[in-house]
Amino acid sequence: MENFWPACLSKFQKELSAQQFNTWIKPLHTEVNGDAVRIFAPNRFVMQWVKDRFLKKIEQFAEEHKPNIQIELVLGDVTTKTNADEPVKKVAKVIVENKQTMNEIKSESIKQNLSEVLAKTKKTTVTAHKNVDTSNLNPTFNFNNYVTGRANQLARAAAIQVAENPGSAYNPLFIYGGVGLGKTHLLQAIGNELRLHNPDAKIRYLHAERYVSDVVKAYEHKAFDEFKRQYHSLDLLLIDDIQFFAKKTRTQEEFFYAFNSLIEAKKQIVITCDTYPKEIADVDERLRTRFSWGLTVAVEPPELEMRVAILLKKAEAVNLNLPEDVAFFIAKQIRSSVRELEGALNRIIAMSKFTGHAIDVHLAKDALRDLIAVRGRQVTMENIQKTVADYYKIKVAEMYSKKRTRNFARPRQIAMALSRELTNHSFPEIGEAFGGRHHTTVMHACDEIDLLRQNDATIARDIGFLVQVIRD
Amino acid sequence: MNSTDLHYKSPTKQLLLDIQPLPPPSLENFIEGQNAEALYSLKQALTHAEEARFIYLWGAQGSGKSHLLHACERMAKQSNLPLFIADDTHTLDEDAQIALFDQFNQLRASGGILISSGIAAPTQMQLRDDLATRLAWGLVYQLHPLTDEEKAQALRTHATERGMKLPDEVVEYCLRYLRRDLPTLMAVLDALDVWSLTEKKPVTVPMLKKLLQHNLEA
Repeated sequence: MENFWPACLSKFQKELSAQQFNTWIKPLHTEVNGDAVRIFAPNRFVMQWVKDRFLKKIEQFAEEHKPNIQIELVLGDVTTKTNADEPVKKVAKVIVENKQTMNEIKSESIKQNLSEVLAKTKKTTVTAHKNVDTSNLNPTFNFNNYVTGRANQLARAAAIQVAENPGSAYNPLFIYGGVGLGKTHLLQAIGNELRLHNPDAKIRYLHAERYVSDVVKAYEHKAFDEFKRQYHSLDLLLIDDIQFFAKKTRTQEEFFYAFNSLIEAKKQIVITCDTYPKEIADVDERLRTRFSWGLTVAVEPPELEMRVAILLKKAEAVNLNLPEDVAFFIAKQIRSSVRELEGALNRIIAMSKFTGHAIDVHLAKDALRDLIAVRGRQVTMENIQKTVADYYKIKVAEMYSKKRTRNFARPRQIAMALSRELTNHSFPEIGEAFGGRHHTTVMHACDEIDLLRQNDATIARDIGFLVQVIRD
Repeated sequence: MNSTDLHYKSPTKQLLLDIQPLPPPSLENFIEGQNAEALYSLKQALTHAEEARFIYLWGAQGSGKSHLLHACERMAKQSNLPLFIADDTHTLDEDAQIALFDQFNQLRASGGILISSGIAAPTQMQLRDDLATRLAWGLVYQLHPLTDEEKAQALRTHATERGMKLPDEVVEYCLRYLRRDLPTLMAVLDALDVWSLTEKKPVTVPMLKKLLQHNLEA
């Protein structure tokens, strides 16, 4: 019974990526009692995640290991355990490492922290490659849930061709288009489709940035043989955002060899990029030429109907009945990328959940404000004075002058009241900025304008307009 | 007047030991104002694995971004959550943006939470498109600054936490005569507290005036 958990761990280590394994499985701790195994999760978050994604597998494995094992997943702390033998210490150490890895970046120290983070991530992946499935495929991306329209039908057709005839249809397949248009989805779908037909195929999906760091890592560890063995033995290489190779000469050279070796062996390569091969900046000519050897297809931004279809599909995936007029409303507001479209829907769902209100156009409007709002200018008193003076066609100097005729005094009062409303300045500070007036003068102006706004529609409208101009 | 200028310095009195540590930022002591949904989503993200794992907060200086980020960071440390924080994303240079982009991809693929902030909506900051759209993919919240009434409430809560009695007229005075950004108001409150402990006198408007006068002369 004692060897159940170590066996389970090594099984997961083989099946999951290093980061997944270190984040979710390693922090778990077990206690064996006869035929019952109690698994402790360090916090609710990990517990929920493990329950949703891994518990079935654990139970299944337990059944294979020895029938009738009772598995229980509970919340508990590793440090409260008494039998702190070697494996436990190791687990604790991994948690600490993991905590550091995931911890934080702050702008001032971001580079330093990130290089540490990356160094650690690299370290874990080095050991991981020996026995772990490194395909990085996410099974949720497939061709069935990829919404097709005029903008991407060619790319999708080519992708299916490649998945069904790897190495022979189009090699390489080069997919290009702007950000957030579903290139990664297509790339992953190719991998998942091929895996369905051929479970033993050696597939790897990776972002170009990861490839760059793999090269750096191989360079540091003088492990180019291992590096080559890994990449040159693949059946399908899916590489995302190749524009990240720009100016990385060493990476480009390595990729050149990998590319040649794979193409020669009739192994499939699929590449995505934000532009077509000839236009990629700072990438070697010989690579750019090779990128266009196979088929180059574009993914265009989706048209309105397609954006609506994407939203409806996405809603369906989370069991949400999205009214069509709301879908149209969102799709009209957000035009450029599918990712932002999904973000908008996420926010609308969250707002509806929070307020308990049904999803309608009104709610959607509120929710989208935070997403598409253009940042207002920094509001300053100078800015207010100038805008108000322009609006009433008087000189800015009249804001500080001692003149008390109505056509100067009223705009001045409005500017004072707006300064109070739109900035954090105090009454004395505002008085100072308006020609050294006493703070009670400012307070009086604010009261007066307040009253006028309630009783005089013209003034209220003028002020409403001024607020808008000043803020934008 | 700058919030950092507001430190009570008395040449004749012995300096107080800092026996009144500031209560650390938490989600509980955040005055939510109009930001209730943002606060709710943060709590959900940190306690329920199935909820949104990517949250981006934006707003003007003083709207509470740092408070919330620090609060989340503390919570995550206490319960060992896989949380990644990226503050002030609008200040990231090209390399840092790529690093964050890479981190996002990894978190999305293998689990974990990302809470980030900036001064504007993700796509309004001239960030790389690929990063901006990723930040926009999660839940995006604009943090709205507090109204004067909410600021008064914040001052009262802060005072209670420090065990300090704060009369209404002092709060009123602060909002009327001082800059009304929260850091300034809080700094004044803290200086008042130190003064009141040193002088062994209750907090009053005349005392506040004296403190401000003292500070101006210093």
